[in-house]
Amino acid sequence: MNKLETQALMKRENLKADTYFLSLLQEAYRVSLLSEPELNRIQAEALSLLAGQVDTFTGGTSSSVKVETAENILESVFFTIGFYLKSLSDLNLALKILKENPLLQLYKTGRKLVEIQFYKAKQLFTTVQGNCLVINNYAYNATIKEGIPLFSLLMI
Amino acid sequence: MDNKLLLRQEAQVNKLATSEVLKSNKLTAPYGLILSPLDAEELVKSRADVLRKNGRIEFAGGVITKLIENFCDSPYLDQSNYAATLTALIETFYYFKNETLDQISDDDLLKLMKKYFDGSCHGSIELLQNRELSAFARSIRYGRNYDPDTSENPAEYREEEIPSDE
Repeated sequence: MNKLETQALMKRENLKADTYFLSLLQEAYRVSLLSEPELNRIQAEALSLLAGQVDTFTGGTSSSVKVETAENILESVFFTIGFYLKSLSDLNLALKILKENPLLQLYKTGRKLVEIQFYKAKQLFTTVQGNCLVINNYAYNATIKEGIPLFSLLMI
Repeated sequence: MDNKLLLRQEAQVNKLATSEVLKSNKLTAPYGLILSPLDAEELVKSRADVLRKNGRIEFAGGVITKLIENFCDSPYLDQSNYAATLTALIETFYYFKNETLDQISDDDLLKLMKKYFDGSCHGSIELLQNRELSAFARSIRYGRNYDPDTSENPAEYREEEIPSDE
């Protein structure tokens, strides 16, 4: 199946920005561009990836976590993979990479991309803080100085 | 996919856990404690129920085995109460993982359970749950530090003054 046929089968409007990875899987499976064994392989790898991330989260001290915690971790893993797939030029390439590479590798690449975006945003934020207007507006000053504590809290 | 994936996880862990539990018979046989394949299946099934009841998910099948390893030399266990006590201990373990807000590691909680069970509780699950671990969990929730090796006379926790809401 060529590139044009692939893209014609998959509907871009069915892909969701925030859950890109899952929606890509669903869409590819819907139009039979992803087979049952391929989907099973991806699920098994997702499970193993999740187990590894939960282990990191608990520092290896607990074999179980609350379901909400596991769901949140899984969501962030899927977001990271989706972030990478979304950065690719077209659906055809995204699907090809998804099929041909281990999920762990996609996650690691996605993580690097997220980190780059994080540092870019941090840089931008520092620039804004250094160039803010000197005005007596509480909302403006509080937003820039205290409103976004994320960068000092998050250590990626 | 999230829910399907988590269900699949449960099925995989259960399968692994049953064979692990049966393997632990080698360790417990010298203490006169043996689990039948049916007992092992029941234990794993009850663990899955308890996990669900407590809203938790497990990523390795080792907790039952760790419980067995920790408790097999208890003077309060014999073949007649072995499987039933393990079931109650599994329930206790996950319940108090939640009650201690996941602030205590698996190994430390198991160590404490064993210490209380053999010590001040004299083999009573009711005392373990409703007196010692309840007091311990309460103290954890109020931010008290603990050291599973050296600490705690459980009575200290029971006597601890709990701040009132007023």
